[in-house]
Amino acid sequence: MRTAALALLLVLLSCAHAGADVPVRVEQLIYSLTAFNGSGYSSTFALQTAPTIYLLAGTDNLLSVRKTLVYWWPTTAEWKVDTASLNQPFTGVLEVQGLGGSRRTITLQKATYFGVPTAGGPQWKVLTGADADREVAAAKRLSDEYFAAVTNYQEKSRKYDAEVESLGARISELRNQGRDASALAARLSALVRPAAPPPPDAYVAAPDQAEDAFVVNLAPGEYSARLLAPGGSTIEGSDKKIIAYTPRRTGGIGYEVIPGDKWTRPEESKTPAAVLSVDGTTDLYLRPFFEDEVNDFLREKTVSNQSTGNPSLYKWVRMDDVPGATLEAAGPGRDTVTLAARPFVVSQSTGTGLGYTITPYDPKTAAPDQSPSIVAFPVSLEKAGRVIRLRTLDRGGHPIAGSERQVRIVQRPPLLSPYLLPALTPLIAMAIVLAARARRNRG
Amino acid sequence: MRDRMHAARVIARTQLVESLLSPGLYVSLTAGLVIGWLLCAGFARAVDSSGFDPRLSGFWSFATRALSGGFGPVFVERLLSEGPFLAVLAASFAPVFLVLATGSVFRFGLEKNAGAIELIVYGPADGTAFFIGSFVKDAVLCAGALGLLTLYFLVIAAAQNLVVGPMFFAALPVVFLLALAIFAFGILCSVGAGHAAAALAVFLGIGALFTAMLAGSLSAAGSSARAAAETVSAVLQWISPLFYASLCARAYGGGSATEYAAGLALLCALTGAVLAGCHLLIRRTGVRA
Repeated sequence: MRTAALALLLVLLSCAHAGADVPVRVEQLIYSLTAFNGSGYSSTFALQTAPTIYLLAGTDNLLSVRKTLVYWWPTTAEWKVDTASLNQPFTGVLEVQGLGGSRRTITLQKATYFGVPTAGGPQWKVLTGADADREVAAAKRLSDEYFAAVTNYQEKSRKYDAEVESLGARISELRNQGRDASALAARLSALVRPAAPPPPDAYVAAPDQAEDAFVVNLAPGEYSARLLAPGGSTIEGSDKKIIAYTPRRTGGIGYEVIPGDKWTRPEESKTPAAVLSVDGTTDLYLRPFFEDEVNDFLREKTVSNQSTGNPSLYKWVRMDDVPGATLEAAGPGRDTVTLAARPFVVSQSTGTGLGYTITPYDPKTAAPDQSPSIVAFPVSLEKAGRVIRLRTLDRGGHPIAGSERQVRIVQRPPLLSPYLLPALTPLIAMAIVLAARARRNRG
Repeated sequence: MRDRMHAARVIARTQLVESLLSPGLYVSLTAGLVIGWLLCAGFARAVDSSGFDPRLSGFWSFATRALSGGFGPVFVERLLSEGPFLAVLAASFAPVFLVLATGSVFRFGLEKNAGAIELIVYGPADGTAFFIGSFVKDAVLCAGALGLLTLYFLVIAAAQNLVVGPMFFAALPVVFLLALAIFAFGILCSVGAGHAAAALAVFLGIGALFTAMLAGSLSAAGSSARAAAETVSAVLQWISPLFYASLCARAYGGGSATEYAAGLALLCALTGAVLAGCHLLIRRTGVRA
């Protein structure tokens, strides 16, 4: 009897681990945030327990309040929302009050955001109401036209391939029979491969379907926010603090550094006056970009409200590319060279050797569908000296402040090299002093 | 006042000669320089075609992971943006600084116990002249050590084609004034404590507290270290030299020369205030153990 009970207990205990570990879902009132981060929009959410929302001042941000299920996802160590099971948006007005006491209410409206390319980099816009609907419709029309063109292109390509195949087969057949195939060959060579339609370039990010949101644009400062129901009562759990902040410095220049042999692992040189130390075994491909310096903690919280950062530190954040820039490179005892951005094609090395080869892109010799992999400033380290000083010039040819960098090819003397000897100088000095002292004492 | 300064100068000179005749300073300097060479060589070995990759060096891998874990990757990025020398300065200066600071604290206590200071006080000097002399000696040796380290770093930079950049040179006065402020705290401990060992223990305790406060305030938001540091710092940060040094670092990072200079001035003011406190304390307690 006791054995049977023990066996049953063991079976029951083993069954305890048999079920899948399903995260517990908890109903919460959350703020859905589409926050502008300086170079685009980040989608995040503030849990009911998160006291503060962080927004970039002077920019349009989309906020909405909803009841949904949240659960802890241990794999990525973050909270996630289950909007498929519960997604109940709240209506009402958002009341935002500054610390000084100024109070404003923001009404819910249909809104969407999108980015359009401009000469000075992408420009981000938020549209509301009918304007938003019009923009979404225009974007959809462009998208539909593109997909129709792609379908048409695919159909033409299919016909072209079939015709090439058919003509090729007939030409081979005629030649095998010893007959003249020049007419068919001429027809084959006259065939023109259909061109792929260019993708629409009207948007960097096309607008999504407009949704109800509070468009919040605040001056720098601290605010308290709460959602008021249509009747005027405060919706429980909707109280939040909003911190609107500005970058500490703007308009800095950073560089994306792509080594020729590791183009999948680009580095970024963001700190002004930073030095890029390399071993000089491969050429570098540089791409300058504008950057802003923001508080690490505030920035991380804007991108994801669950993140954490360091409030004591500021970091440079990549913004837009520098339009029309040129790069000036100089070395000691060498003439200053002005470099222009050039297109390159990256191809994977063939054979057993891994790696990539970066070659200049030539539209005349490139395959019809091939486009440049990167557009960058090539810096050849082979011909350069041990130091290259770089700076970015704007469209007018003027140096941009804070764009100066040094590329240095680091030398590696052995650990036990003559350069270690100066480190032993104090010991030698000690020996001399102690010997002199002993000598004097003896005297 | 003039007599006191003259006495302090004579005492400083005597102590300086005594320090130069003992091996501690030379050994610690050598240790600092060798550490500097090894760390820079490790840095150069961790450089590949795309730049510095700490994973290629055991020490730098450990150090950058530890610092990133504690203070965030931005801290490491800033620290190493010009090359290794700013980080190496901290590691190389530490042995010299510890020998100077703890040596002075311990020696002051020993001489107080032995009655040597009391003996001097019967002559033209007083307790204040004695500790000022000791402070000046530490300041001179500290400046010399920093100068020697900088010279050697310039040699390493030339050998490895690295840069001793503007951030390093901006850090030098901060490190020097920070060391002076901590020397002043050492004197305060020596004057206040009854025995050499007690003075040393209190001094090391204060140093550890200030370091922990700074480390906590630099750590990522939400960490328990930061929460604790913020609570303690609310009161104590104003007397911590490391706080003013961090203000200088923050000002330099933000490109504000005025705030940087103000941070240096505050470090000087703190040192002056602590030395003034020492003067009042030694007048009250005397120079007997």
